[in-house]
Amino acid sequence: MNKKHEALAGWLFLLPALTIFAALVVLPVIMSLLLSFTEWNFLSGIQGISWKGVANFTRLFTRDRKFMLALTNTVFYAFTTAPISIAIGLLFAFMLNDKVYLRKVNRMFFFIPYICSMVALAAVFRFLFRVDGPINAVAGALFGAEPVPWLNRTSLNRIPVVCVMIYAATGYNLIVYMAALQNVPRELYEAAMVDGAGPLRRFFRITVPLISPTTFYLLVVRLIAAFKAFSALNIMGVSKTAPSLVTEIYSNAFDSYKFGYASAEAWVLVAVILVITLIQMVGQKKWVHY
Amino acid sequence: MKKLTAILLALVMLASCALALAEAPNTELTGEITFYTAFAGANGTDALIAQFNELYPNVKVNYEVYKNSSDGNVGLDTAIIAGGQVDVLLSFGVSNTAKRWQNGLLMDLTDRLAADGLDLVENWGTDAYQYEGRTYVFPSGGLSVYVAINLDKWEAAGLGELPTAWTWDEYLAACEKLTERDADGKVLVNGGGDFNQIDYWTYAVRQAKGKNVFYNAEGLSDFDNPLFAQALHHEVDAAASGIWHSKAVYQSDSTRSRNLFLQGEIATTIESILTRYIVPGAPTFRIGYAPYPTFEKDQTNYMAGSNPNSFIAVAANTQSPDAAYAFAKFAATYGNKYMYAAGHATTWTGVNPDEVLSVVFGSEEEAAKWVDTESFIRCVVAAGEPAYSEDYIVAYTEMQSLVDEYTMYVLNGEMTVEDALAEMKLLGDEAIEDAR
Repeated sequence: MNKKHEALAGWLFLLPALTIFAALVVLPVIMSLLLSFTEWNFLSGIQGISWKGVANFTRLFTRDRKFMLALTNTVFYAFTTAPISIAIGLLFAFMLNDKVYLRKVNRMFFFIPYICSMVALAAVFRFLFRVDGPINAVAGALFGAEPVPWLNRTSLNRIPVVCVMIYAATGYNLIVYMAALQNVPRELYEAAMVDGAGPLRRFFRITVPLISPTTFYLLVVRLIAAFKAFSALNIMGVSKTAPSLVTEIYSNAFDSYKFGYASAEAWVLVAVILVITLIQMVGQKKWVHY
Repeated sequence: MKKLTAILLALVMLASCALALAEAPNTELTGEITFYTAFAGANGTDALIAQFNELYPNVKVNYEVYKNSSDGNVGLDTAIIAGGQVDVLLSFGVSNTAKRWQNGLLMDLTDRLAADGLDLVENWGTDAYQYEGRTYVFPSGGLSVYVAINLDKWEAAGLGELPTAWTWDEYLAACEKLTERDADGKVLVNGGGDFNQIDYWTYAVRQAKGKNVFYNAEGLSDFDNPLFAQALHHEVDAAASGIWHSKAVYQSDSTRSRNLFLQGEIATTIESILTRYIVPGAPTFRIGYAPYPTFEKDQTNYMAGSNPNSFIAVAANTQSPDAAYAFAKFAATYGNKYMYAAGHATTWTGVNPDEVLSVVFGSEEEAAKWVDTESFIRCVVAAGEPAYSEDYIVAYTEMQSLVDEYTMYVLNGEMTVEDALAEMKLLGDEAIEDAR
């Protein structure tokens, strides 16, 4: 078989997958980009699409108070959830990396929240943060604190959301970090100990640099996940007062049937994630050691 | 003699109208249709279909239950557009329903209604729900909004007869008397509370305005109308003083007014769908009813009647238009009593209150064990009472969204009533201008 035939056979094998990819990914992406410049209510059919140019984008940044609130909240969710869940994951992974009683069982327990449905976790956290819920009850019993309306106040209701997102993410971070920690050569620690380095110094000078590629990977993945926050907000009932970009997109698309406007919001979200990921890619040269 | 002739003529007209509605058993009409409803079989749908089949034995009716939520409505709309078998639908809310008729998803019923001699005002109390002069829906599904009262507590407080009309001041004074406190002044039982849904305080404004709550005469937002401030102050002040259960707590704790009421934790509550939960909730007390309060004495109470809230329609692309129309007409008239089994109400003027008691409780005698039947018929069935309606819905979703958002700011003490309403007015006008 000559090379031309081989290539043709290759493309033929790829064709089913490419067709599915084109129909379910490429086409919707292109459609949503086009829709972001239009006004469209899907009930009116294709003929109901009207061209708006950049009006949707202009309105987003000049007149849409809810969008700006959602953008701010989303950035808050991302920049609290990602670093905190990574730090906690690293801490527990480091602790479990040594000889610990019931190590495997502990590891499993930490991982369970990650495989649980976010809907179930959010429902549990909604209960925990109720005015008459366990958190207020414990705070009241220990410190005599008045019940705090965690889920009502706009100044507070992002805290339960961040808590559930951290809780859900920590298990995954822990497992990935545990794998990374296994690959740090023991000799480095032994040499450092011979040179008189203490535990903190060994951790920051050996462990942290050597697992920095893992940290970088987790930072990228966690930030993207946090930017897509949706279920937790919906289930905890704060999507009106502490919306994220995705809850806003959903609301405009499926409550108001403004598919063009929602597409514009979706593309802003894509742009934000892209910019932040690019910044990380550039910045990683300074702190990630391969 | 002239009077007698006029009465006879009126009787003949009424009889012919009733005949048009009554429908003799029809074995000629055949077909298979699918009814999209939000109510499960046990909540009246099975009984509705069974009774329809007594009249139309050769029409097979299947039903699908969809959730009246964003997801559920998108699913239903997609099913209609995609040509899935949707023949008859129970469409909730003016906003959702208007989207459907504006985009050609619903069959034009105008000529069929005329042929049957059915008049919207005469049979369902309003012709507000039309589009470009044509009728696409039966405005038959209603919500009665009333005050449900724990009769044990009412009698213990010595409040006398159940009111047939009362003002907010009178209702809140009753709540004060019904509120139970311990020796330290801590509230044990709230005297009352609003329905748990965030926007229900606007029903007070609906009661007074009668039409298009969110809009003023110019079609702009009406949040600067003093009625809004008055209604929201009622909500906030009553909760702050402890005589009402806090709506903010309902929201944060995801609790429902009907549950607290049926458990005896609040003595009265503004409600609309309590009926469905009475027998399963098995309260230890009987329930009495009073009408929704008014701002002023002798004011027309547009919350006294059954307010159109859901609409029965035929999908434009139904394959069995005759069978679908026959079912829709039946469901909007004689079959509409089954809405009560789901906690909703009917706007159909031909409703028989005794039948409603049987549908909900099994029999009139059984009903008397649970509720004061006289006030139930007066306030829940509420036949012939004035009702609120809407025929202007520009940027309606945005208006609703503003109410939901800013009410929470006020209830949480993060904004004053006046500041919130001022901002709502500004943003509401902006949303309307944009939508126009």
